[in-house]
Amino acid sequence: MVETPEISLVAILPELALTVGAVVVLMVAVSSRRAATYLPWIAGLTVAATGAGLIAQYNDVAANGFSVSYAGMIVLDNQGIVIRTVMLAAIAVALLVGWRYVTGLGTRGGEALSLVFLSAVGFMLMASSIHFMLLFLGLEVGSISLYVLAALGQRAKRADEAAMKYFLLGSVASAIFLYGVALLYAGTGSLTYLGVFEFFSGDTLVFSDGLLSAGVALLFVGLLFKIAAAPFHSWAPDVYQGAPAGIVGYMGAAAKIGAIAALLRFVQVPFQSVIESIQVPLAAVAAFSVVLGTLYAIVQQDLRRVLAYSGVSHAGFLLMGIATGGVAEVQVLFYLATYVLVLVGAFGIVSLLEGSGSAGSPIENWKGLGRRSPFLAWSLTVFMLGMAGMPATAGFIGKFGIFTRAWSGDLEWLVIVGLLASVAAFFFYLRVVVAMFFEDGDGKTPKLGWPAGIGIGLTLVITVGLGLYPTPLLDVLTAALG
Amino acid sequence: MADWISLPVNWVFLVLALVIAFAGVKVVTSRNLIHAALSLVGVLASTAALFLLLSAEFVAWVLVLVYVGAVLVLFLFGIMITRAPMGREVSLDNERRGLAAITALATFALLAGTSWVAFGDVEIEGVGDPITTGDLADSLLGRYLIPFEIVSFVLLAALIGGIALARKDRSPAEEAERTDA
Repeated sequence: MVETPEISLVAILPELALTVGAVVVLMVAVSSRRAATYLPWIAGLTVAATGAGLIAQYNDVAANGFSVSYAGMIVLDNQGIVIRTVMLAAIAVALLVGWRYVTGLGTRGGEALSLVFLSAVGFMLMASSIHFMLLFLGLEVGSISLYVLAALGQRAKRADEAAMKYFLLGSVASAIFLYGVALLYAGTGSLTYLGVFEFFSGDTLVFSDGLLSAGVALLFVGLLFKIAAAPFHSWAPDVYQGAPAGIVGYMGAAAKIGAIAALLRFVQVPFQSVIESIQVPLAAVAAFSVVLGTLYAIVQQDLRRVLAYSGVSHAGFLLMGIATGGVAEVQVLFYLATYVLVLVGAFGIVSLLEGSGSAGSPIENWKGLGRRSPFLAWSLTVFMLGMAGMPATAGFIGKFGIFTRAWSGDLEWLVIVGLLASVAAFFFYLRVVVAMFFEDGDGKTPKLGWPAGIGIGLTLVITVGLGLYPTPLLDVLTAALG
Repeated sequence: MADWISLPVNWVFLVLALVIAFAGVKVVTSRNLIHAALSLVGVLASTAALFLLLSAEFVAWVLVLVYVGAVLVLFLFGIMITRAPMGREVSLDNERRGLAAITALATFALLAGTSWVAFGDVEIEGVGDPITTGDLADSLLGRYLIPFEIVSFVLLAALIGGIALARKDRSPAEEAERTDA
């Protein structure tokens, strides 16, 4: 007799909406001759439906508290809802600023759009999964979609190289992650977060110590690779530089959201009772990422490589919050939300200047942009300051929150490393600003359409708004997660 | 050790393991793509036999049907249809062979070492009753319902990718013709 697991539609509503959207986009793209005119509407409807699903979930949690469904696979709680909301915001902004990428692909635009939605389904599942198998599948759905998105652009040597590198190294990372899951299962006999938690917190003598350490280490390495934390970052600069400009911001953002969501749950549930042994390696990776990302970003001559290495250091800051052992979830999520939006926005501007399918963006090209296109130049300045953590931008509040938590969590040395790196980071973030306003150049003048304008404007408002007045959002987050 | 030798199942395992190891090395060292693909048949078929040893009958046959039967035939078709080099080729290797070998050996040492430390002296006592296809179906549509559905997303994403990447772009003229028709 089949045991039917408890099915809860509300627990997967946003994913359902995105799936339906992805399939409808595919169907319309193949069957309709005027697909290009319908795609924006379908995309808008899908985003709206996903948002409605998230609101329904929020109401459900408010009424009934958190719930577990599908035989202990999926949890519906506020943390998952917040992460999925961040994901949805990233999609919305990425589609607005990168819409030219979708239309520029011509007959492949529909495929690109549906892959964006599918990847979001995968990474959203990572946020709500409490089962290692489902986590892996979410990771794979998301990653495979991103590999294809990286390869969809123009047939240029550098773009192909980036896509191939991303695919091969990403697959190795997934394999490492899977090895970790297998060893963990061999050691604990459980694949659910709760089962692993009970195993570790029980007073049974752990007889297979090496096996478990290796398993947990491989598990983390697989995810650290996806967020491009040093020393697992080697793919990031080439991919950020070579992949189509219109989508690379979303690629970086989505992978970070999914993996950080999983890491956050890791330190909260399955590995909570062994956090002391995980904390030191995690903090070491965080420090290494922050330092290496900052130092390498300083010497880059290409804005996209600068953004890639700054992504490495941002991964370090996020890990700093995670290394505190799950007490900093509000701060980590705030940081994640503001960083990914700024990342998508900044790459939006890159794609406006260089073309949505382009690869590379030497600093040279940015000279004199302040005169040719003041709005974009000022927007990029704000985004750069936001990433650097300038006061009055959301980046400052994010960094401040993470530092405070890490300081009170006995990671003082890490905070000092982070502070030094943040100061040094201003150098490379401001270099492009200097090039835009104080150096002469006669590069291209970007044409700003209204979707990209709205997307960039929204990101600007969020970055500055949350920098000046973060209390409401922080209060909501604290109330929802605390 | 005497016990170990007296059990026929261990002999079968030894033979299979040797075949897998040998064929696995052949897959990456062979300078001929066809030979590499055929060596992969040896690896996968022997892995299927390992599953049979663990009385996981269904998984074994799935491995044979899907991987040996379908995926590898696809590999061979792929090699033959595209203009990939089919004869003896030297350019498949590059100078980083040494590093790759070290990485592979280190991975092997890690996995084998940890398994040895953890389970080195644990005796496997029988592998239980064979799991029937019915049991598997029950758990796929019961406990593992969501992963079962999500796997189809993995396939969908890969399918879209395969088609979108392999398809030739229509020229603008052809596109206009299609719109007019």
